Amino acid sequence: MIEDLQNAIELIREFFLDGFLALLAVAVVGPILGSALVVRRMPLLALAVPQLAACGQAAAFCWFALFYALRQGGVVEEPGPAVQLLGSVASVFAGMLLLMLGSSRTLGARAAIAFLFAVALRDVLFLATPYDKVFEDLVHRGRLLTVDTSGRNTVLAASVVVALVFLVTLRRNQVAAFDPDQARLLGAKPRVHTLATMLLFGLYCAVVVPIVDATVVLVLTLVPPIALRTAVPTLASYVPWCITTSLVGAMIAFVLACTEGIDWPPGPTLTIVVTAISLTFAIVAKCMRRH
Amino acid sequence: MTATVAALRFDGLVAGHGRRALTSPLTLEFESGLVHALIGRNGSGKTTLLRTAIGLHDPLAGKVTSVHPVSYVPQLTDFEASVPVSALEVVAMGRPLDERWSVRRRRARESLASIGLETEATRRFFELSGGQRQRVLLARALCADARLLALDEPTSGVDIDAVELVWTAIRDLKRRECTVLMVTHDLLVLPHVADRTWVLDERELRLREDGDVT
Repeated sequence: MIEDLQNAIELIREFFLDGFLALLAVAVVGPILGSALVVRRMPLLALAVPQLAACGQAAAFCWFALFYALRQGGVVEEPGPAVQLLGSVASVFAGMLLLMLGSSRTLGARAAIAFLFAVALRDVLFLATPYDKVFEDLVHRGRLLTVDTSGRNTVLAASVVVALVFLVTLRRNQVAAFDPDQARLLGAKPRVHTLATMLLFGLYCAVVVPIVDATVVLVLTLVPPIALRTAVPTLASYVPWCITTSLVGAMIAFVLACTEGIDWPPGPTLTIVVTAISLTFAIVAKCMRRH
Repeated sequence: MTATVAALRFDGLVAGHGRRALTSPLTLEFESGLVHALIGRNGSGKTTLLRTAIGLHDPLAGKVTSVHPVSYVPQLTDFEASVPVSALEVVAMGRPLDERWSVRRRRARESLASIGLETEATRRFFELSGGQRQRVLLARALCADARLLALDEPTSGVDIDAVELVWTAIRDLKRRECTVLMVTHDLLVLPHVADRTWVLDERELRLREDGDVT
């Protein structure tokens, strides 16, 4: 068993280090964004937006195939990262614009519908293109094991920018989420903060999802903040607990996915492990609070 | 003869939602260092007027002048219960956003202690009783160094046993030379707490005379 783990770590160091580092970056930034969305009662937005990004990526594949096939004929190459990013950004911002039309009270319901619609459209778009093999790999293997150096750098850069913006505005965001009136009296603008949070999350998903896959962003953004929300004692400890949980879960999941004899696909492994770790941490945090 | 100092002044103030005016133009002053109660029928616009008075709503016309730092205590049901926040953190939210955490924490502890809740500092805000939560919010006003305090239904959602503690805390604020402006339906305690009672009726705000029970 120990030998298997050592082999898995060696495998990661030699072949999958880029994917591992990208995963760790999302494991740090995802919970920061997720906790901001959860305390604002917008968890369904965190469900929908990564899928919108994935849907845009599929649309980019579809359009690229159409144009490439029309011009060249024969074997169709995959679109480059820039084309995928363009599709992802367009889809996220079009989707978010539609989500923001209408009452904020029904935003959750609209986000749930957007989630289902985006998942279905992504499947249809991929199956309608010559990339059904890519889609099959995406479903079964995820994208984490195929992240290259350029993808890793993009994820790291996006994560650093988002983390810095959130750290600078953390206190304003927290006061605005708990008591918007008090935030206004202190000179903050709660609506602007909410909108900025949504846009930043959208942008992060649009950049990161085509590289690491929607499931990774969705799980790390949503599961720890929801599981730990009722368990942690203070607002100051909420984000650190969420980050620790997702980091531990992400590391265990990636090692499991690379361990010979287990070899689970990274996406589903991440979902199972992060959920299990989050619930365990929530129980631990509750026990610590009681004593 | 000494002139009374106004903590809050309305000059032709019209409060309302959208284009719908809930008050006629109001020109009056609220004396400093007193507890002013604002009563009226449901839907008469008391909360809107209160929020307009402290700058949380824009007036439809006229202006409000306040000489003191303001703090607002909304109804307990107005808070976002999904936020995991401790009593100490709620009180610290009264301090300026750019103040250092160590200073905010010290001031918040002092405020909690002054209101007798120092042992509850690390408890989650939503695990406290209604009365304790209301007192935590009053401690936040103290922590903010507010001299004008606006309260919306301070005993709404508070256990009957804890109501007296809330009124005691409000009287204590008055002793600290705070001006209190509060919306309330609790008419029975008004004579024991309020120095002035204002009635909002038919879009007019008038000072209730002693013995007036309408």
